Amino acid sequence: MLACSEEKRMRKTEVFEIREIGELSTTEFVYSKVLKIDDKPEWYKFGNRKILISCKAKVKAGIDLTAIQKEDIEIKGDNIIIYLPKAKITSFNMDPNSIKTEMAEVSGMRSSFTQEEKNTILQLGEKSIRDGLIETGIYNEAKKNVISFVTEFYQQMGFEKVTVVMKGDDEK
Amino acid sequence: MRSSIRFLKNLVALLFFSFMGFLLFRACSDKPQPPELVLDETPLHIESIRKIAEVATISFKDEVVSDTIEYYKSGDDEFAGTLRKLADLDFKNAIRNSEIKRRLTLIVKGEAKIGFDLTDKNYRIDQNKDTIWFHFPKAKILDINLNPSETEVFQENGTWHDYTRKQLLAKAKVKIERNVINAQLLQKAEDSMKDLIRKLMRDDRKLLIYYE
Repeated sequence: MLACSEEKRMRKTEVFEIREIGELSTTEFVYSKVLKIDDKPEWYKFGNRKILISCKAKVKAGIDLTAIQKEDIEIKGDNIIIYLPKAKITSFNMDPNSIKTEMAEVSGMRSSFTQEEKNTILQLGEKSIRDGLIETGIYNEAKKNVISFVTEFYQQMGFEKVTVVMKGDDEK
Repeated sequence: MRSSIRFLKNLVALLFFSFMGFLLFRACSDKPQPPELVLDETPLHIESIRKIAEVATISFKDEVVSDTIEYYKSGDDEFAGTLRKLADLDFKNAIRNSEIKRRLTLIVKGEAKIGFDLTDKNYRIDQNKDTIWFHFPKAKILDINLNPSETEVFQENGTWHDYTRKQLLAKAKVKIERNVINAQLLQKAEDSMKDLIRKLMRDDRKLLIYYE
């Protein structure tokens, strides 16, 4: 038999990246979305393909505490003013267990949706969810909770009056 | 007359070899790009909103391979399977016999966040003029994020159901979790917390942190 194969060699390299961070997450939103694809035929394909996949994403938002500079904290006796960085998305997770193919229909000479194609559809869904986050109010909710957490934290440290100011626009 | 027959023979031979060459090229060349899929517009629903308080002090990015293989049970099975594979016009399979009936291989890049869950206000701060004591819960893995954009279906032979992909992703998650433990990142997260708190204190009092 001919020895021409598509079986690629497995990659052995493992990539590790350990990084010190300081992220305070103060809000968690769970989103759901139905991903709809109607793969209409080209002139050389006969038949249709349709698929509906439902998915969920758990998204956390908060601030990057390491972005706080020395000059962002002003202490005058028992009073403290703290300027915090803009809110950002700290975690985004599309749990594989919450992904479900609700319906798939293939007709004519078309082939079924492969796992690779389903992963491509999920990638499109992920992008669509990420793009839509700003309109859901997650940043405002995160900011509100950040102010409440930081105020309480510094009060426990002995400060009587805590003023928290959020800087700039939110990061996408 | 003879030259016409010879011409026809040469033409047939040329066509035959060209076709074989094309088949070989298709079989040996990279997989053709799948046609572009376009997502229809659908709304984004908010299922729940929760107030949390989590401080992540370590991020760990890892790449793992998660694989499943099914082998033929007998030589006859293998022969019949090879013939079936050869009939595949997409040339997704090797033009040789293989003991592998089907295979699904994923390369998954995941990110683990390690830190402290303070959501239930389960921390305490005591202080006097000279010292400040922080009592935090022990560090834990807050998130292991595996997203489709960081998942590559490296190889897919045969038909696979969704649950197999889910199982492979679950396996990848366990591998990343194990790597976090082996790299002693929970301890590292606690050390990192001390640096972070010192940065946020901005005073000269002695700092003592306990993880309970």
